Parts: sequence; C-alpha cells; structure tokens
Amino acid sequence: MKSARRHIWLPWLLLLVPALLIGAVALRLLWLEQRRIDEAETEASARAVAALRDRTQVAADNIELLVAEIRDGLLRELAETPPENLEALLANWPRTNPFVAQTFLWRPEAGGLTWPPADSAEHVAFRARHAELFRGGVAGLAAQSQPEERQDAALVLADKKEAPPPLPAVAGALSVRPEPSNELAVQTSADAVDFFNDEPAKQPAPAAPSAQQGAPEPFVVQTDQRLWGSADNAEVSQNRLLRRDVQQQTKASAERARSSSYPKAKSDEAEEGAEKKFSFKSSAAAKEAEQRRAAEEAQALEQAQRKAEAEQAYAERARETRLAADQSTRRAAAMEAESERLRRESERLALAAAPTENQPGAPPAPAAVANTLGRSAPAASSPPQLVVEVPRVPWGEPLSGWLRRSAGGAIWFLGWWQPAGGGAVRGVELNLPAVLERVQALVPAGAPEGGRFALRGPDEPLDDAAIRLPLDTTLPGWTLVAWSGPMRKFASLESNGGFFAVAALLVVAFVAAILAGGAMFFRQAAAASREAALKTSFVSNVSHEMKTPLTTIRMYAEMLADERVDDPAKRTRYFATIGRETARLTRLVNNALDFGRLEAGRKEYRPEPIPLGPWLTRLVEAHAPRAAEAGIRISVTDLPAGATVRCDPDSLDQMALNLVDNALKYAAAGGVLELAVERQGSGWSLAVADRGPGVPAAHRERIFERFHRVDESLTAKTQGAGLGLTIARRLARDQGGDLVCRAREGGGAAFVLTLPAAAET
Amino acid sequence: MGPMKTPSFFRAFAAAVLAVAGLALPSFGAKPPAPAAPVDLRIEFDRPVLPADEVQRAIVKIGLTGCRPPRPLERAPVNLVIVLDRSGSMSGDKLAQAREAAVEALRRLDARDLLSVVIYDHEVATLIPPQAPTDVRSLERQIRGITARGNTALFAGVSQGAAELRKNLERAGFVHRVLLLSDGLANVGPSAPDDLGRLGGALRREGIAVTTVGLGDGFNEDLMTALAQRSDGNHYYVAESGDLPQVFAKELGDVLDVVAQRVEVTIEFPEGVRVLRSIGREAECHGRNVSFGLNQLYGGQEKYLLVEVEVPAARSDEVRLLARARASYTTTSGGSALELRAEGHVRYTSDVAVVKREANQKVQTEFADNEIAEARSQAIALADAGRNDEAVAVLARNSAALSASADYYDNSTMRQSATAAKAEAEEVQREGIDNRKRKELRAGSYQTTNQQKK
Repeated sequence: MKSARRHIWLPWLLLLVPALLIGAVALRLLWLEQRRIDEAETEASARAVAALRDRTQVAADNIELLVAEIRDGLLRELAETPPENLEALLANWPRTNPFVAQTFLWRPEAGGLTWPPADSAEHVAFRARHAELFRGGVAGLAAQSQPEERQDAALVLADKKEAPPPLPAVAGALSVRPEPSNELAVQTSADAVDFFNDEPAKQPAPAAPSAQQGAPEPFVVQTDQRLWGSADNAEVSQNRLLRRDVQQQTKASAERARSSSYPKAKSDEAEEGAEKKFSFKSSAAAKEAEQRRAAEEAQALEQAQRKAEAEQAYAERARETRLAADQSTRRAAAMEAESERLRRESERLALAAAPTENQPGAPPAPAAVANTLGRSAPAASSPPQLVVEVPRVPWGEPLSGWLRRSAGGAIWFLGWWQPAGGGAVRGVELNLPAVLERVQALVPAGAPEGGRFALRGPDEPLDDAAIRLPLDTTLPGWTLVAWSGPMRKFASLESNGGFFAVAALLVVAFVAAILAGGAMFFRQAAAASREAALKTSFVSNVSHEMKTPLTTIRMYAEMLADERVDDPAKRTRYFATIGRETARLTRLVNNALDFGRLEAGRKEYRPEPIPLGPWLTRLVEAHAPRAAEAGIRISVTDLPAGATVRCDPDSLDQMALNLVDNALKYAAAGGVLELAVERQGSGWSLAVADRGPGVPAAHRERIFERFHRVDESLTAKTQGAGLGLTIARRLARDQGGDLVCRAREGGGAAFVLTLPAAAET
Repeated sequence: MGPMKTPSFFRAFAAAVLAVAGLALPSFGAKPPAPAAPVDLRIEFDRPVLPADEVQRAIVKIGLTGCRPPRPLERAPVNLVIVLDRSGSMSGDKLAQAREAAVEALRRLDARDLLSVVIYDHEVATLIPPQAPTDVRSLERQIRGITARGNTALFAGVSQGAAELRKNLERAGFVHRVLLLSDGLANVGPSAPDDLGRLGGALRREGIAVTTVGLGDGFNEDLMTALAQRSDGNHYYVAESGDLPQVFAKELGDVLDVVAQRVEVTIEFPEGVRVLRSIGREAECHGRNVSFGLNQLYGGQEKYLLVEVEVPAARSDEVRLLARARASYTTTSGGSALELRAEGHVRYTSDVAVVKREANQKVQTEFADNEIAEARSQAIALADAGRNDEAVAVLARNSAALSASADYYDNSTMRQSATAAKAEAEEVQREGIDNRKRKELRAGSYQTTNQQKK
C-alpha cells in the first residue's frame, strides 16, 4: 500500500512541477507583453494626439485664412470705394454684405463721424458703443493717454509694401490681390503704426542680429505717421506698452503666413532666400529708412504705369470679395492636405531655427522668430493682438488695420482704411456672428477615430480639451479646441494592466485546471489501488473463512464415510457439526451474495410488519446454543409492548445475525450480549450491546465501510471478510432505518439498529 | 388681424370713391392686382382724410400682398434644412414628436425640393445632406433613428444648417429655409439674443430665412425671436410637444406658398413730412427715407410696415401726396428683380365728422395690434427688471389709449383688440409674467409684428 502511494506521488510531482513552471514562465511573458502593449499604446496615443493636433492646426489655419480673407476683402473693398459720395456707398454695405454690421466714415475736416448719422436705433447704438473711440481730437488724446491695463487689444497696423504671393488655390478667391511683382515678395515694414498716436513712435530696439540664424537683414520699419487725431486712450497706451510685442508678432505673423500659407515660401530656397529678403530697420535708423523709402518711392513711380493697368482689373475683381469667402470655405477642404504639408514644413523651419522653442500647441513660427530677434518670446503671455497684412493698394501708401474692442458686453472688430496722405477714414464693423457662422463650417466634424472639435468663444470654458489653439491672429479670444476620440478609451482596456490581468487569469485557470485534473486522476488511481488491495484482502478473508468450515465438514464427512465412528452419539454430533458448519458456510456465501446484490443495487425487499417481541424470542432461541458455546449469554433487557417495525423479514434476520455473529466473534470475552428495544422518534431501535473490547473511536464509522476490519492482518485471531456491518447498514438504510456503532459506558460496543415503525393498524 | 371685410370698411371704401372720384388713390383701392403680378404694393393711411389747418400725426401703412397661393405645380422649389435639437432635454416624447414633425415636413415636399437634416447637441452632425426627398422611406428611417444626448450647441447647429443650404444657394428659384427646433438654452457657442439676431440679419442678406420653433418652457424666447425676426422667418411657441407636427405642417404650408423673394421696399416721404418712427417690423429710417426688406412673401398673406409721420398743416380740400413707395422683388421662377410702385395721397377737410367717417378702420386696428405688441415687449423688459407694476401700467395705459381711440372712431375691431389688451394687463397684474406667459407674449408680439399667419 505505501509503495503504491509513493508510485502515485512521483508522477504527481512530475505533473505539478512542470505545470507550475510553465505557468510562471507564461506569466512572466505576459507581463513583458503587457509592458510592450503599454508602450505601444502610449506611443499610439501620442501619435493620435499629434495627428489630432495636426488636424486641429490645419483647421485653425483654414479658419484664420478664411477670416483673414474676409477681413482683407472688406479692407480692400473699403479701399476701392470711390471717394465720391462715400456716405451713400457705405450706407448700402450693411444691407448687402452679410459680414458687415455697420460702416463708418470719419472725416478729419468735419472733426468726427459723418457716417452713420444718429438717425436710427442701430446707428445710435453704434455711435454709443464706439463713442470712446471716436471722441475728442488731438488735444483730447494727450489727456487720455494714460497707461492703463485693459483687455482691449491694441490696434496694430502692418502696412506691407507688397503682399506675399498668394497661394494658387486662394488666388481666385483673393483675386483682388495685386499681381505679385518681381521685387522682394515679403519685404515688410512690420512696425506697429499707432493708429491714434500723435507722437512719433518709440523706437523699437534695433534688431540684434541673431547668431543662431545667420543674421537676417533687418526689417524696414516705418516711423509712425500721424493718422487720426483722435485716440482711444486705453488702446493707445496698451499699444505703446505692447509695441515690442506687436513688432514681434507682426513679424511672426508675416513669417508664419509666408511659411505656412504661401507655397512659394515652402521650399528650402525660401527658407534661406526669404530670410535674406526680409529686412528690418528700426526707426532709430531714420536716415536709412528715409533713404530706403525714397528709393522705394522712386521704384513705385516707375511702376505706377504698370500698376495703373493692374488697377483696372483689380477694381473689377473687388466685387468678388464677398464671394471669395464662400469659395474659400468650399476650397478649404481641398486645401487641407496642402496646408498641412506646408504647416509641417513651417514647423520644420521653426525647429531648425529654434529647436527648444517649439512648444506643442503654440504656433511655432512666432517663437522661432522671437528667438532670432534675441528677445524673450512674449507670444504666449501677451494679450491677443490683431495683426493684419494689408496688401499694397494701387494708389500710394494707404494705412489700414483692424481693431478689437469690447463694448456693451460684446466684442467688436473694426476695420479701417485711410488713403495715403490722410483724408477720410473709412471703416467697417464686422458682423462677428456671421463670420463665426462661416468659421463654424471649417470646424472639422467629429470622427470616431479622430476626436471632436469645437470653437470656443472668449468666455466659454475650454473643458478638458486636449488641444487648444488660440486663433490669435485673426480672431483673438477664440480658441479651436479638440478632444481625442473614443479610440483612446477603447485602447485603455488593454493598457493599464488590463491585458495582463485577463491573460494572467487565463493562465492561472489553465494551470489550475491541469493540476485539478491531475489531482483527480491520481486520487482515482489511489482509490483504485486501495480497492484492489481491499478486494484481494476480501478474497483471502472469504477463502480463509470458507476454508475452516470446509475443513471441518471434510474431516467429519471423511470420518463418517470411512465408518470409523461407531458411537452413534458421536456420529450424531458429527452430523450436527457438519450441519452447523454448512450453515456457517451458507451464511458466508449469503453475505457475499447479498453484498454483490447490494453493490449492484439489485436487492429486492418485501417489507411487512414484524412484531419485535416474538421475533426477539425466536432470535434468542436460535442463537442461544451458539452463544453458549462461545461463552456468551444472550438476554433481552428491554422490550416495550407492541413494538412493531416494518421491514423485510429476511433482511432483518440477516442484520441481527451479522450483529450477533460480530458479538460472538469479537466480544465473547465480555460474556454478555444484551438486546434492548426502545422507541426512537417515529421508529424503533434495537440495541445490541456487548462488553467486549469495544470499537476504537477512529474505526467507529469506518467499520461500516466494505472490507474494512479493525485488524486487517490475515493472522488476526478472528476471521471475517469485513462485510457483515457493511451489509447490515446498507439493508437498514435501504429500508428507511440506520445502523450506528456507539461506545458503551463501562466498556464494550453497542450497535443500534433503527427501523421505521409499522403503521398502526 | 381684424376681419378683412367689415361693413365699416365697405362704408369707408364707398365714401372714399365718391369723395375723391377721379383721383388715383391707391390707399382706397381694393384695386384688383394685375393677374400677372404675384405681388401687390399698396399705401394706406389710418385716416385718408385729415383735419385741415393743423399739424397732424398720421399712420402710413405700406402693405405687400402675395396674391393667391401658387398652384402646386407652379410653386417655388424649397431648399429646406431642418435643424433639430437632440440634446438630452429633448428625450422622450419631445424628440418623438420632433421626429414625427420632421417626417411630416418630409412628406410635404416632393422631388423638386431639397431637404437636409442637421442634428445638434454639444456637437453638430448632418444627418441628411441636401437631397431631393425621393427615397422617402429611407429618409424617414434616418429621421426616426435620432436619439437624444448632450448639450445644446444651437449656434453651431444653425451654422451647419446654413452651410448645408449654401451648397444650393445659387440655384435659381429656390426658397431657402432653416427650420430650427430647440427646447433648451443654447449653452455651447454664442448664445446672446443679439448675436443670433445679427447672424439672422447676415443670413437674410443671403436669402436664407430661419424659422424658429421653441418647444416647452426651457428655450430662450428672446434668442429664438431675434433669430427669426432678423432673418424674416416665422417663430412658433409650442408648449405641448404634441402640437409639433401641426406647426411643422403650417410652416411647410407657408414655405410652399412663397410667391416672391428678396423683397426690398423703399418709402419716400415728401418734404415737410417728418418720419417719427416705424412700428412693429424693423425698418431703416434715414431722414425721409424708410426702407425694409422681406426675405419672401407668401401667397394670400399680407405683410406690412407701419410708419408714424408728422404731416404739415394744409388747407381744407387740398389733396397731397404723402408717401411714395417702391418695391423690388424676384419671382420664384427666378430672373431679374421686378419693381412695383405705389403712391398714397391724403385729402384735408375742416369737417371732423368726415375725418371720422373716412377713417380706415382696418389700418387703425392693425396699428392698435402693433402698439399692443410693442407694449408687450416693453412690459416684458420691465418685468424682467423686476418692475412688474410698471409693466402692468404700460399695458394698461396702452389699452386705455387704444380704447379711447376706438371709441372716438367707433372702430369695433380695434375695440376688441383694446379690450383683449386690457384683459391681458389685468391678468399680468394678477399673476405676473411667468416663464410660459413670457413665451406666449413674446411669440404673440412677434407674430403680430411679422404678420405671421396664425
């Protein structure tokens, strides 16, 4: 038995150890895989965010382009309006142009607004909300020009000598742009000309040639001109304070426009060439500026003829300005790819210029330019600026710009234009909602993998937007925001240990299944081998049991056959012995047969009421001689009247026989066997109690297991097959009763057989 | 509007014809419109005969009537975008009815028309891009698939709707219409009534009208009426969502009845006449010139502007030109703009009885209705400022003045209006202006000044 166990444990270990090892290795591999997934996911989400940013940037560029087009168109239209009968022409604008909320005309000779008159509620409201702007003259300005912190953005004027060459795709929409001349395309005077200032502008710091970028030529900076005697104090002061920022922004804007929006600047040659073509000259170097301007004027005169010709076509096309916005909206989609490429290009340029300044989310170009100027980049912290590039108009050098004002809880954009050499300032108030409505069409639609986009106004919360691109160039205060798409959420199922958790669970379950299967298998094998051992023991026991009576029978039978026994009394005794031994054999065989029948579930019962009194009397009578032979006295100690059980009589006899046999076999030393009947719930119990050695507690239940014997050795004094109690209990349980073994006070064992009472009749 | 043909109107008409026979007085003319012209332009006065020898105030009505609705085969094709609020607050019956309403609208269109459907919550999506509604079943299925969620990005929704219309804006003859349904406050994007009004103004210049349908008690009626008013669309207040399909059907009835578009009217007053104000409809007044525009004119409906002017004194029996109007419009079949002209003359008399007798009671009633509408707007503003007593006072004062005027001219329809206004003033005094009442007042005022079919 023990070596069998050892044999079983060995393969069990052979299964257990590799299974655990494989499990551990699998977990380790899964963990590594999880880390790889996490990394890939982080990378993918970074890529997704980058793609989202790209897309947002493209949309923002398109929006800025659209708004710039609308505004340029309006300024151009302002410029093209013939000076005769201006009021009447301007009056018609708001009725026809959806982007115009109101027009105005400021005539210096009249000392104020000559349009709109205060004749309707709308006009009165307009005059009221911009009263501050239009109030007072030159004298009033000085008094009002106290520096003041205010949110209002400064007026910025970027008067460009030449427009940058238009993007081919936009060229149709911007058909009013003059033909790009052969001269330097991006020569820019980027000074912030103070619209209202009556004193010369402070000199901007001379551009420190940047060591990083091979010293580009300085910008040409025009000194301020006295444009408009009146001034808005706050804006002026703000303007002064921000002059430096403005210059940088203007330059930045120019550069940005050049490098991102205009394809001519996209190539590498533009990177170098345009850099050289850019020139910056401070007002401090007034002389130089004067010279340059003189030269330019001469050049302008030379080109006057050419431009006059262009002017004709220019004026005609000006009417298309309004349509331009529509067309460009539609073209925007087509342009996306192109502008994205350009934007990337510009980013690359910016990176090349200032690798450390390329912070995500911020337009790269301004930072880069600021850096080349050797100053700190103020772009991020400065209030929104308004920078508009006005293409050179054919006649002279007009001045114009845009202005952002807050009045009456709303934001207003005012565009204005003044012909060269002073004169009436024509202006237009932008119908912002109409512009925003068009802009809305350029906000990309949300895609499942591409995220969600929205345009947010000055007072609107940005929520938890992943990307925020302020539209500072054309719509200061508005921000294009984007959120990453739901893809991110879906992916997070796998990341953050999710994959590992699921996979590890599977591996553990797999290993556990293997081990459980193995355990069951080995358990079964152990049980089978135990059973085999028990059966072997059973066969030996039964054989041994049979051998004894057979020997006795053979011996007496031979003696009788040989007629060696003459004494008739002896002969009779021999015959009785043979009969007794045969009966014993019969019992043994019956037990074995019964056991087989019980095991197979084929035992049939014929229950009937059995009065216990007569039955016990018969039992005692039947067994008394055998008991006496063994030295035991059988007595009935308790027998209530009318105790009747319902049971199959044969099986009851067999149960009693087995119990009495056991007592005779094992408890003969006790000398007594007491039978007692008691009421037990709804049935009756019969206790068969002896004064033998008793049953050890550990065996008290196991003795009912088949083949089990307290002493299993073949050499045990007593014989037996280990079946009697098993059969008795089975018989009792099959008929609704039970058989248990109890220790008896004062030594010995008591077997209590319980059987259901017969129905009372 | 008061009934068109009251006995007093006929009396006035007959008297006028007798009194000023031979003079072309369009003001009296129930002049049958030329059968070809789909639009009739008329100038009328509250009192065609004015008391002589004193400076007078007169109400001038410049009326445009779309002649009979077009026959179904001749009507203008419609480029309609339905902009549906699908925000979370719409869930349940509201959205179900809105879907039914959209399907109702869809069924009224035919293959000539274009329909698109835009749905918005915190973001906007075009559910149905512009297309002729030929595959009604598939479109219905799409509309019925709309579910509620999110916030109210009303501005973006209207923008998207306009963008969808704009794809076919250049196609001749189409009536371009945004039909906006919302039950909530715009809480994403621009949301000031003034901003939306300005957007409406811009859209009108492109020939796009926005009809706004406010559902339930949560929407901002100021915003919705401003958008409708400035774009010359209709506005409906629908308290119970069950009425939605009916409202959509009514709106579609209007849209399918358009006989003229891009109507621009300019009124010129002769020297000596002083323009005091325009009443009701928005108009631009510049000196002696007043102009207003309509995006479209519906068949069988009259739209008008009332202008109050100060008329210089004149001798008795003098007949004077008081206003000259010019209207331009395009017909639904496209083509260049057509023009209409009209003049209005008044006669002076020293006989006050004649003045009374000749009074145009219809114009007077219309004036009264617009005055009431204006008083309502004032009352709403006052009530908003917490000055409920003043609001009641404005309403009461207005109704009293109108009542007195009605008695003086023995104008029964005007008296009815004045009585109703008085009852309203009393109700406001009793119960104040709650949310629902405010929406009713706002919508009622707008429908009056817009002469919307009720």
